[in-house]
Amino acid sequence: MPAIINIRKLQRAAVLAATVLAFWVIALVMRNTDAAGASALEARVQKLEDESQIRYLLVEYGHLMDTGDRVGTLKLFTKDATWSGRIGTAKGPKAILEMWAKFLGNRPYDPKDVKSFYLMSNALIRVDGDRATALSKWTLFAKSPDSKLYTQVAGHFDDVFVRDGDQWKFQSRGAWRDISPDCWADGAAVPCK
Amino acid sequence: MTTIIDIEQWFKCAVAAAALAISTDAIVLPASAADKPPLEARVRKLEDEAQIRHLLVEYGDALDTRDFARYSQLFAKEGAWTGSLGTAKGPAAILALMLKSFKDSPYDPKNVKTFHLDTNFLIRIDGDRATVLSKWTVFGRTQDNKLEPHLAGHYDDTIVRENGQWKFLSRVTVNDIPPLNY
Repeated sequence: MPAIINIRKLQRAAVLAATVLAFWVIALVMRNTDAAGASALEARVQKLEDESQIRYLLVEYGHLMDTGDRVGTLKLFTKDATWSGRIGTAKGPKAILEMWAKFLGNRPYDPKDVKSFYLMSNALIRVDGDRATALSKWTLFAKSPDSKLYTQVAGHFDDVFVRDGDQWKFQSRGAWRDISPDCWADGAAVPCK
Repeated sequence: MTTIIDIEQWFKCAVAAAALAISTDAIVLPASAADKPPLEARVRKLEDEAQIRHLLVEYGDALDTRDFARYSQLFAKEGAWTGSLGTAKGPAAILALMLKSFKDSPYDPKNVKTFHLDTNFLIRIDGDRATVLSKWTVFGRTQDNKLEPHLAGHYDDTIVRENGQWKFLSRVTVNDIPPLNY
């Protein structure tokens, strides 16, 4: 008399099921390991790219200011960014531009008669997700009336950056003078004591 | 005694399970990386930037130490140097121009007269080609041996990958302070 359940068929099905299950488990483990590894690596590469872009931004600011392109400089800022320095604090590109025009005057750029330039250095960049902070130094080199090169002023920048789409922008920049031939009191340059 | 399972049937099942696992894998891959270049290309660009940064600084070192053999090899076969000394094209011509121009100011490590400070790198890479702006400031001695900045200007470069190495295809040296008209 035949058995109701064919024991051999049952064994066969069990082995097949076990095989399929084993592959699933292996695939699942591999997939998770791969995905976790790839996304961890992606995050590390992203951080290096972020640092590179912020480094570029720090230098680009100097380049645009040196070539007299203040409107271009302010395109590196977010719409509600602040700029602070000894001449005051302003919020938003329009207000910053007005403050610069008022206190710094207009300095048209002539490539055959360069008056000064920023040397940028000592960038300390800390990236944290979509936000970053940086400290860096600036030294302003200038041309004397007898056409000699000299170091005029030095200071530091204290910055906050945010990611705006796939670009980094200044959210705030503090542009501080550290060593300067003049000092600042009541909104005007005075001799240093 | 017959085997519990025939090996062919088992193999078919295993292949089917593996294929299923792989196809599911493709579906669940993170979509966030999809709009960016492949990771390998992104890493390569970062490496390119590091190599170009090295090239820019090595130029200053080779020049300051008057190592013009090394200096001229930083240029591509068709690489051109343009500046106050004129224009030279190709490593051999650049080597000749520099040996001639600097023969009266040799390098002495115990009595360094000048050096280049290379800063403000703006590196833009596009595949095997890059355009770079940067600044140079030459420091030297006053008559009483004090350190002072003498000259400053900028470099306007096109840099290309040649046989796996980044080299200058064109370097234009511009004097800004004091200006130089040529």
